[in-house]
Amino acid sequence: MQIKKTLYLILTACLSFILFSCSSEKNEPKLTSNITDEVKKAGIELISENCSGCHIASKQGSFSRISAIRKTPEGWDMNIVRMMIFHGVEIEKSDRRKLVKYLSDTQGLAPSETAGFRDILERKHNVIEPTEDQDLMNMCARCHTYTRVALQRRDVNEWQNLVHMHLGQWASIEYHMLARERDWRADALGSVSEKLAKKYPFETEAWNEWQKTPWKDMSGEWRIIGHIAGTGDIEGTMSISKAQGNDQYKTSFTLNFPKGEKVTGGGKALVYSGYEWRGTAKLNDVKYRQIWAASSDGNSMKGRFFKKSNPEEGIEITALRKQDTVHTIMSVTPSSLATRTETEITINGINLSGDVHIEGTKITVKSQTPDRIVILATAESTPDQSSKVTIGKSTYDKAFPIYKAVDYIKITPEYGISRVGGGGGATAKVKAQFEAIGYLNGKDGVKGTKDDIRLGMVFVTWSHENFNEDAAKMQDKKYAGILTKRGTFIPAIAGPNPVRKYGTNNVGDLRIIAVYEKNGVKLTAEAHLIATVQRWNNPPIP
Amino acid sequence: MKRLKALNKKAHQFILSTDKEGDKKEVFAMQNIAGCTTSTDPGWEVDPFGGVASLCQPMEADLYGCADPCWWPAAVPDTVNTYPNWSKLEDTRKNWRKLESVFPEDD
Repeated sequence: MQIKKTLYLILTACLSFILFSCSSEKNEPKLTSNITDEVKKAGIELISENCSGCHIASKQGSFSRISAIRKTPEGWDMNIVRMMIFHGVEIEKSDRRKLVKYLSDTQGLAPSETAGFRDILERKHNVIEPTEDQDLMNMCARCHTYTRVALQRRDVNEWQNLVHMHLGQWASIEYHMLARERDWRADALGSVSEKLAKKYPFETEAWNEWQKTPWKDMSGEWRIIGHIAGTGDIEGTMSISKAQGNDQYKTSFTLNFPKGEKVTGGGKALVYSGYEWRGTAKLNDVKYRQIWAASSDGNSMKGRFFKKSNPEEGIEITALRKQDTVHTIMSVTPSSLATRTETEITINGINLSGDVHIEGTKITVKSQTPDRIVILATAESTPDQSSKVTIGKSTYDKAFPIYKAVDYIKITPEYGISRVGGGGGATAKVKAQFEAIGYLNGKDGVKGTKDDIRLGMVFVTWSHENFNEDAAKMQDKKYAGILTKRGTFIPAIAGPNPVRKYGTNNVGDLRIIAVYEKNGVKLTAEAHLIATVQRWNNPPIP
Repeated sequence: MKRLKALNKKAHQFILSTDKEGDKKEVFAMQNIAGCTTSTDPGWEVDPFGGVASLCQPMEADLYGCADPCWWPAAVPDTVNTYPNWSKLEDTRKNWRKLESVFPEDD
């Protein structure tokens, strides 16, 4: 009897396994596995209500033009705004948001498809885009960013439709410089559309695969580190809790800014396409926005945390989920150590435990928690200029240089932009932030070669001058703005200035100068700033 | 180029940017900051030489004259097709404060 019962149990288990396997195969993620049928139905209804006056619906739930394009949330939002402005479509604010969400979730971009173009998406200021294809740059990026193009996916006929739209909408497009020297229309509809369809096609394996990846639950406790250009490093914690569904969250932050400034606050976030984290938060009563990308395992995020009023002012952050199994060093501040000086160093991470060791240094631990260790370090030697930081079994993945003296400094950005604003006009001033970075020449002793070692931000004295003779004649330095001790260029107010020649605006062509002085060493670096006019059109992807 | 004499600053810069054979050197424009409308002549915020000396000065003086035919379509509203009613002002130098920023951001 007992044998029979055992056999019965084994047989039942086998059958269950087979049945489960079959059902697993049947239930294998569909192309929109993260989107329920209910959400899909609501999305199609929403498009039908708002867009089907022009976009023809099919029985399968697709819409002409719309269903043949993929974009980022920002790209879809700009698309909807274009319909509002070009064609007078009236869309409720809530519908605009829902449309952007649905379209980004069902026709978005995979993480690998946005990876090379996140700077502009994150509203980074002063980015010079890589010129991978001069032909495409001349065709598209002479008016707007190349990122705007590279973050879309279309087949050739859809790229051609985009060309037709440009031609119909902007009358002088064929006569601009870099357009009039060529058969613009033939090139745009021919080789350029074909090239774009090959580079950025509608259907990709990356997106098909990503749609099968289940969205991760982002709630939990997180550790954040970051950097504010010209100011220094930040660190802290973030708590994420679920607000609604599998994509809406509440956040709270406890952050330590440079010079001991405590910053706290909270907000909310919505995740698009399963990984595009878009959040708002109030930190010490200042409104911030987050444009971050989550990793496919949902355990890390990277991006920018910036002021809503001034997106150029922001923090580049990395966030890691706190997990018992994770023991990692996330940042070391400062990021290098000079000999001869006892220096306080903060090491941030998750589950930090064990002895702190930095090759070539004598260390005294001031305080130690699993999140943060503060030490006093004195360099006793300069082992190969680069050292390693280890705590117990964790080793920091970046080198920690120990140096006698900085060899040279560089200003970043080397070519920057600010814009006039305020003065009663509709646009705010856009500041330019400069930062000086110290370097060692490396083993070859030659400046500017591959083996140079980056030491990190150094404190310098900032000044600015007219960039050239023309700027001097126009007295640009006098009128264009001021440069603070922190390397922030604050432009002057907008509008014609009657006391300037031609009554011109407070624009200027300026040379930014950084001087670093320590232990009798004096180093200088220069950068170029154009303090220019404001934009009157400020979409999220410029 | 020997027989040409520059009459203004922009023309002078243009002559400086040509080589001995008279071919125009590749302009600086495409190495400028992302999003700047540089390559139309003049550009909106940066001139083809990477500076501001050859821009319309002040920009308000010639704003509609250039914005009308979509000269800087990404940075400045064109009033031909896209924004026909963009801040219709009689004297932009005087009334520039009434110029509106056009992208309706979703708060």
